[in-house]
Amino acid sequence: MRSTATISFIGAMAFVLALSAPVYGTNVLGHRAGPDPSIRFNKINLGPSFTNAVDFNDVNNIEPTDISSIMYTNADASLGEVNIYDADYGNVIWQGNWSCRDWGTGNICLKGRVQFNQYWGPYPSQEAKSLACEEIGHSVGLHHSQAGTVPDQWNVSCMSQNPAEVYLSNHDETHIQAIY
Amino acid sequence: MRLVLQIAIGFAVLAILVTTTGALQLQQASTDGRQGAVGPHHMRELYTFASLGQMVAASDAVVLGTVTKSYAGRQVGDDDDTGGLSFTEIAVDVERVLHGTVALTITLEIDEVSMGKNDAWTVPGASVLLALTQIADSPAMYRPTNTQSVFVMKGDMVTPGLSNDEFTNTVAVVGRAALLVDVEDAAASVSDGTVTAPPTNQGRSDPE
Repeated sequence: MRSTATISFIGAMAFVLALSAPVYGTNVLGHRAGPDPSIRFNKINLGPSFTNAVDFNDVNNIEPTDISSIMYTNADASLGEVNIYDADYGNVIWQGNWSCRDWGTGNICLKGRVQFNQYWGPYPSQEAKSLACEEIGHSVGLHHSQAGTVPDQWNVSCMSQNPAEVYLSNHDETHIQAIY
Repeated sequence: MRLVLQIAIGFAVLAILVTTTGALQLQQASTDGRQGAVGPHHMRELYTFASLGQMVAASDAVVLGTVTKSYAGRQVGDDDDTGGLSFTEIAVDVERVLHGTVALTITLEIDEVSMGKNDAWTVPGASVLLALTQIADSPAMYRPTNTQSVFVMKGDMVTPGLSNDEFTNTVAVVGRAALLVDVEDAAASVSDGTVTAPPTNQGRSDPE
């Protein structure tokens, strides 16, 4: 009787841990964009390449999750919780980045900023989509995926920084579901 | 009945445990992301290095020097129109050139995104090892080749200046004296053509 209970207990432990593992993996940044799952993205002065890339990402990577995106194309930066730009930022280290410009309480980024650097462009369509996937992935709370931290699916995600990858992995989406 | 009760208690205890652990991890991730001494960067860089040889080969120069001055540099665009980007300029007295050719005093710039909160290496007096890419000719201006290209020396201790990752930690752990030897060896390998720069992330994607 006691051994059966012990086995059941261990089984229950394994079950709970298995369920929880993907949610609390290590490619999360620890924040969320805005206070609720409805996130306002604003494409400010985006050229056609990154407009297409951001729209592709919205349909294929963001909308399938619990996030409900509201997409603006407006020069008014106050509209967006995530404002998205492309410009020639010069010979800097990066092709794209996300940064938070205004932190709220509770690890909420009230005003995120995504920048695509046209200095290193023009980008092939696939590369622009990959960049949009990664940087918007950062904006909603995802970290880079690496072999050491996401051993199961790190290399099938745009968060791996591989420009051939234009989609989030199931692992990434599980994180987003947990955050939102 | 007792078995069911035990299982139920087990689930309850573990649910609390897992929830607590998860919250702690999220809190840790948040701390790392926002306040870490060498916080992670949320960007796609042109280069990612796996070896010192790659770092040297991809750089125009590698120097050991001392920071003498840092100050606000140029600004690209403004926040509303282009997202804006501000730069910091850093003057460095070069004590030793390990690769390439540079003047005795050089100026480099770094943008706010690449710097993040990791500005300890820009404080005047900081002893630094820098792998540099030249971005302007006259006057000469450089930038770190990537965020893995900055190391701070304190005595024999070396710490990554901008990026805390497997590569930079492996490079730093050997200490100052051994690191300088490693860089010189890498520079020799680059000179004789046995080591070359890795491909940039740009253009790695498959053609459509």
